[in-house]
Amino acid sequence: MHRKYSAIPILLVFALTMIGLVYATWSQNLYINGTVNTGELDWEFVGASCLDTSGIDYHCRDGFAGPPPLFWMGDKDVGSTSVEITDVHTVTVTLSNVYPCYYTSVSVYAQNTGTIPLIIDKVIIDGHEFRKTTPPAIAQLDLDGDGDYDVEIWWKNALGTQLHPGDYSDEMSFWVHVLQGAPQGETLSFTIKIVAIQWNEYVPP
Amino acid sequence: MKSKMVAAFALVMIALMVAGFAYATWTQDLYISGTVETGDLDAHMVAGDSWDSEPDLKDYSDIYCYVEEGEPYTLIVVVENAYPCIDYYQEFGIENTGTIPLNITSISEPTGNFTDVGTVEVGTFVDGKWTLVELPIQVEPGDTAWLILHVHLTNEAEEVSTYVFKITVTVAQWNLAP
Repeated sequence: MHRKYSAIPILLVFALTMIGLVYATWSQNLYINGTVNTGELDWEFVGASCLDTSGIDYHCRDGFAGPPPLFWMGDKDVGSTSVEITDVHTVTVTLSNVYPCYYTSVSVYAQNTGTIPLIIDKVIIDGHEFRKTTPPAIAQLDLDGDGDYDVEIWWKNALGTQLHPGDYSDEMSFWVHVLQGAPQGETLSFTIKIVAIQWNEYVPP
Repeated sequence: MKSKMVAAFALVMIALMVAGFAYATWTQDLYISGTVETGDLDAHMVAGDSWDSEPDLKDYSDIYCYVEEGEPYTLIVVVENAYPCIDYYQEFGIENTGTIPLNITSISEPTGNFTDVGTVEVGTFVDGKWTLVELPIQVEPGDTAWLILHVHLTNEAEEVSTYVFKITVTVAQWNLAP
């Protein structure tokens, strides 16, 4: 019994020695504190204009087909086109009292208002997606859902263009042609989305 | 009675002689005076070069770092105007400012909300190829081990946001490293 108790102090001393050894290991911590402030990808419309705000109407062939001229002035002032920057990310185009074969064109201009370079990657015309390709980016749209096309839109340029922060875009324009399928006395809406991405994520088509 | 007195005197004298003999033994003590001056395990962060994968004509974001005066144990790394898929590199050194060799024994996984949107690694370039750091790394007093911090954002990162991360580097005396 006495031998058992006599072992306790020895064990305690041994344990303390071990603890002391652990505490005695010299070490030091260094720290790396990181802060990452992300940039901003943003661009805004800064200008918009269109053909036929008032005056003689224009016409063109189906599919904007040649030979030149691809569009020409008629002899009547019936329809018109207006364009407005409704907010910095939206341009609203309105064609009023137009009719089949009516032609107009719209030009918009944008600026890179973000902090990183961007590339105009693609345009989506009512769900039809176009990138920088050789074939013309023409979308025929059945806006009233009756099975025939009502308008066709040709996105002309600027896809693949790079804009650095603060840069202004070249003209981005599209043509609109009212087709025979367009209903009378209706209001038809379409949406064109221009998609810009950070320059280093752009994959050329 | 008289003879008993004589015997007692004699015994006392003998005892005194024996005692006197002991006192007279020549002795000399030797001493070892020990002084242990311990060394110093100390390391400081050192800021190094910075670069990223943006081409010269698109140098819109930056990474940089610094060590605040009086806070040599903390390296502050900042990435400004960061965006996904750019590789940011920050070189930093761990200088052995102590008096004994040390080992860099561990580099923790990064913590902080940046880990939800990007990666942070510590490594170096070996023959032009990015290689994660292999530990331990031994640093002699006065020497500096140079490492590189690689920061990369995924597309999960939000625009105009601030993310933070923290990494702990542990150094220990060289002979106790695992």
